Order: sequence, then C-alpha cells, then structure tokens
Amino acid sequence: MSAAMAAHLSVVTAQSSSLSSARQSVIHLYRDFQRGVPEIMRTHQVDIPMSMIRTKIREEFERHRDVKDLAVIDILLFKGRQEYQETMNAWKQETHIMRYFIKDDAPPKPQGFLEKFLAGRD
Amino acid sequence: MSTSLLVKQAMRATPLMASFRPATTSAFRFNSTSTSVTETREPVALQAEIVSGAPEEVRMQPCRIFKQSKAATQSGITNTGVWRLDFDTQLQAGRFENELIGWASSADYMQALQMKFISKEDAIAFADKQGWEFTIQEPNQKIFKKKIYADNFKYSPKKLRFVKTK
Repeated sequence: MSAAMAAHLSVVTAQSSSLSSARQSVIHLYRDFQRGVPEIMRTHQVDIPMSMIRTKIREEFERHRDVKDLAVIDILLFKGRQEYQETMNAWKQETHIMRYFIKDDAPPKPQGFLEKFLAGRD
Repeated sequence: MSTSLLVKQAMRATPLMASFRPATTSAFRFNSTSTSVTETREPVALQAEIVSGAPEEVRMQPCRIFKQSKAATQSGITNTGVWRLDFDTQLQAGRFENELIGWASSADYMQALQMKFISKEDAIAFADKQGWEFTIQEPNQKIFKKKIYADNFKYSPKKLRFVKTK
C-alpha cells in the first residue's frame, strides 16, 4: 500500500536536453498545478479564494522566469514536482499551504524611531 | 585569477544565457601581505542561491573572508590556519528583547553563521556559488627575523650597533 502511495503522482527526474524541452516540462507542471487548485481547496480546506491561490502559483513560477541554466531548471522542476505531489496527496497540511501566503499577511514592520522603540526592536 | 575560476566561467558561457548577473570582467585583486581589505568582486558562479531556499535578502548582506589573527596575549597559532567566512554585523538587524525571559534576540539569521575553509579559493568558490557579496581580507604576514646571539660580538667596520665596551 505504501509503495503505491509513494508512486502516485511521482515523476522521473528531468534531465532536460534543451531549453525548449525544459520549458515544456515547466509548462506541464504549471498546468498541473492550476488544474489541481479546486482539489487543493477541497482537500485542505484553506480559507483562501481560488483566485489568490492561482495568483500565488503564478507568482512562484514567475520568480524563476529568467533562469537559463539547465541544471538549475532541472532542480527547480524536481522541487516543483515534489511540491505538487505532496500537495495533491495531502502529505502537506493546511499550515504548509498557508506558509506560501504568510509574507502577504505579515504585519508591517515598525518604521521610524518611535515605532521601533515602542515595539522594542532595533 | 585562478584556473578553476576561468574554467567555471568558460563552462557557464552559453549562447542562450541571459545575464542573470552582470558578467565579470577581469577580476584583478591586489594581493598584499598587510591587513588591507581587497576590493569586492562580483559573484560569478553557479547560482546555487536559486535552489538553496535561502531568502533573497541574504544576497544583499556583505560577508567577509579572512584569517583570524593570532591573539597577542598568547603564542598559540592553531586558529590562524583556517580561512573563515563571517557576516558583518548589521545596524538594523531587528534586535529585540525576548518577551518571556528578556533574552537579547535578533532577527538576523546570518549573524551567528561562521564557516571555516581550508583555503581561500574554497571560501571564494562557496560565497560565489551562494551569490553572497564578499570581501577578502588578506592576513597580516608576520615577518620573522632570525636573531643570532653571536652577531652581538661580530666585527663591523662601521659603527657598532651595540657598544659592549665602556
């Protein structure tokens, strides 16, 4: 049973021969993520609207848009696939999903001397 | 510039590569034996910072590659052999007092990181790979002058350094 569980949604590690094949793999992963958003919402029951989750997925992919090194792209693909598998198999919990959004919700850092002093921070 | 760095640059130069960071020109460093700080170099290497999971802000923090100097109060030189990598103390490091106990805490996660390397090139390669801004501080080479007691009594046609007779 556990062997089947480990195999579900697992993918052989990519060794991209060219940028275009790497780009294809990335786009496949992106589409898998976007297709899986309703299931993520159903499984993990996070109180985040679908549009925000889709935007967050887009943001994470856009972060590495300019990477051209094939080895680095392969590692990023591996990590992305890992995240996808863990999310869709519900090996992650709600807290792990919320971690992607923590920086958006963090309270603003104190600015100026008085606010820093009252907060007790440097 | 060492050959290993040249090889790395050659390997990285592909026609499709967009410049993620500005490509280095000649990285000529002034190697001095004094404790002068050599000029900072642009990081060159393998972009491990993209996959390392480290926050983006770490790349803005400058670090220092140096050899610890011998303590003037002691003769031991064991700690002076290794090359160290240390992050500079930042002014606005988010220091605060722990609410429960009152410990002096800091939001700077790199302040306690101290790395040791066998050679300077290893340290530079690591900092390059992680994309950190580093400065190399060359160690102060102690000039050892041999002193021979017999030289006090040697014949000298010039004026004697130490006059032994009254």
